[in-house]
Amino acid sequence: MIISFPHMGKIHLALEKTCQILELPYIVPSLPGPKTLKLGQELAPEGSCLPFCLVLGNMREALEKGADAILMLGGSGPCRFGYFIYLAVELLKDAGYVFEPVIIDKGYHLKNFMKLQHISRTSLPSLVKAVFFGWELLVSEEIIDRLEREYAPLIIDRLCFSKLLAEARQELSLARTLQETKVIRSRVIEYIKNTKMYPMDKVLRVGLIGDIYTLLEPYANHQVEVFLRKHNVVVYKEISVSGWLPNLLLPWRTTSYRRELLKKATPYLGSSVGGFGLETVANAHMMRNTKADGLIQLFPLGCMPEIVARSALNKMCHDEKIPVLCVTMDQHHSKTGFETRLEAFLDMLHNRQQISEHDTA
Amino acid sequence: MKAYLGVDVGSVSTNLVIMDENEEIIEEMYLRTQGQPVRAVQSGLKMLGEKLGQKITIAGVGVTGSARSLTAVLVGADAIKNEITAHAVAVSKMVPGAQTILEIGGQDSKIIIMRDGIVIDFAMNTVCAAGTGSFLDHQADRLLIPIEKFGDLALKAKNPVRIAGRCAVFAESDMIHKQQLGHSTEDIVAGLCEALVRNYLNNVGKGKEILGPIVFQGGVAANVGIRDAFEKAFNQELIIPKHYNVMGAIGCCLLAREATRNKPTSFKGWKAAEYDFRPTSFECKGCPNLCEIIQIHENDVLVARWGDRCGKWSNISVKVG
Repeated sequence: MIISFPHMGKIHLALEKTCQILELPYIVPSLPGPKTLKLGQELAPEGSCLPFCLVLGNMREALEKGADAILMLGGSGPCRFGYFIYLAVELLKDAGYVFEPVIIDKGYHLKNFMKLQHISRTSLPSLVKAVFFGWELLVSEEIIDRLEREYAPLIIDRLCFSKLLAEARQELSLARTLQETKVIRSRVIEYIKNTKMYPMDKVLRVGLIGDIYTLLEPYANHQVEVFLRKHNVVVYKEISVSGWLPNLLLPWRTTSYRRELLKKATPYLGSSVGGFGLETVANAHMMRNTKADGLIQLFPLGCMPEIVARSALNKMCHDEKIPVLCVTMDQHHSKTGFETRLEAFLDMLHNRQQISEHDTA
Repeated sequence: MKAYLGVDVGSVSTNLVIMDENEEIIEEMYLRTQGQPVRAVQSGLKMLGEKLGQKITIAGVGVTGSARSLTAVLVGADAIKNEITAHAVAVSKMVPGAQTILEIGGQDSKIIIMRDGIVIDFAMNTVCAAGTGSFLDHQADRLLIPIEKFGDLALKAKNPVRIAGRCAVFAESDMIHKQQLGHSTEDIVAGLCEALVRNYLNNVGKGKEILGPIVFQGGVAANVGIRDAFEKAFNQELIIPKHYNVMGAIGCCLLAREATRNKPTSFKGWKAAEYDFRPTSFECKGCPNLCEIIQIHENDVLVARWGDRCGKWSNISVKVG
């Protein structure tokens, strides 16, 4: 049996590692790109959002390359598609593909673990160990990404820092023990602690909010983080795979997680509106209180939860005097329009920063 | 005499402005891009060079519009800026005290909120181009009305019809259905103007604090039908600046002056109008991104390359060799 999985941010690194440890044959579909979109669009219902087309395209590509089991995470967010992954599975089956879906979702843990154990033909403890190691690797990767987003624009010797990060990522991919991943992580943290930095108030700070797939997948967001880094902007992004999955899958965490979000989102949103709408508003409100000069909301065309969140954001940006740029992402191949909006937004933030400096001086 | 050149190359029009050091507009030019930005810029440059080449020296060049990177290579630009900033800079000079700018161009419509001459908020259409210049152009063409008369016709309407303004395709089918039912062209045209304004306010203008004085600019500001519909919606008069259709280019002149304060200009000279500029493109197959790479050749020398996500092509210093 050959296993595969669709992309979302860096999740493939964890799954790859797990498969390697378990000595399971696997296929990683190519990173989302125009080809993925085309494959997905051919099967997706008209009006499907960009993430759906890309996930479907990834799965289809893997099946065509010979995969016969597909591992998927978080099947049924109450977004416009409701049963997101289940719909994708049905579409692929209708198109004649034969495969075993392994859906990691609320309420199916035991069943899925048994299925995974059956596929990998290994003992339960070694399966748990392999999954845990993959998980730790993902956590490390996402910590390094976060450090890059939040510190790279501040560090004076930027080239040295980029080199350090590239090395750290490479070493992580080769790591074999938990100890190694911890050493790599702490090396990056040590470097940041000891290096020379520009003062925090000299750079712009922007918070990214919106739909999880759009935020995590560079192809779906026109590499917004690279653009912002090039313009020396510190980027805050609270959404990550390692932050989301435990709260989705571990029943003892979901309630307190939701309560926490609701507390942060008050008074602008009082209930979960599906997808990541509540997270968007909660994170926006929190970033406003802590650090960001402006917020950028990115979401795929037709994403209902984000459209609802946007209305709440409008009210918030008015009350709290924080600018929000809302951009709908769809299948544009050209980045020009997107970059025009980002550039103008950064210009505006610079102006506002100068005014507030002037006022306080 | 020292002067500054501003070039705004948009989807529908290419505008060039020459401004002297006292912020006086010496010359303005409004050309149709017609899908050929290189040709449009070069013909504008040629005309300006012939007319003013002897009298003025260009001390700085600013470019904006969706073709700004391309134009920057063509003319040699000192300031390359997005349209929002360029428009706002122009308005803060030309209409001091303005608090809201409505700008509708060929493919974009935007609202800019200013306080004390500084942009504090803005929005731009993201997915649909319904309600922008090129859509109006297309409808005028279909109805065989010259675009210049489109607005006047709307003012003659007695009972404007209701048309869906949310999507260009829906708007067009609505218009056709109404016309097949027997509504007069004036009523349909006026209905379209109202629909576009409604759409603009619901999408671009939503949640923005629109205070007067309101400036209306961009090519569509020439359309009295749209202007009338806006004035009805806001219940106040709009200011249409004298150079309403070249404001982006004026902003570029001002930005160019700022950019060349302590350095010489990179302007290539009027002779650039005669250069042979040839863009070519190819698809990079280095990774699944399949980026479309653009290469610009100037007189058979490769001078610029862009379009890649990773920098593999754009980072190569193409001027060597």
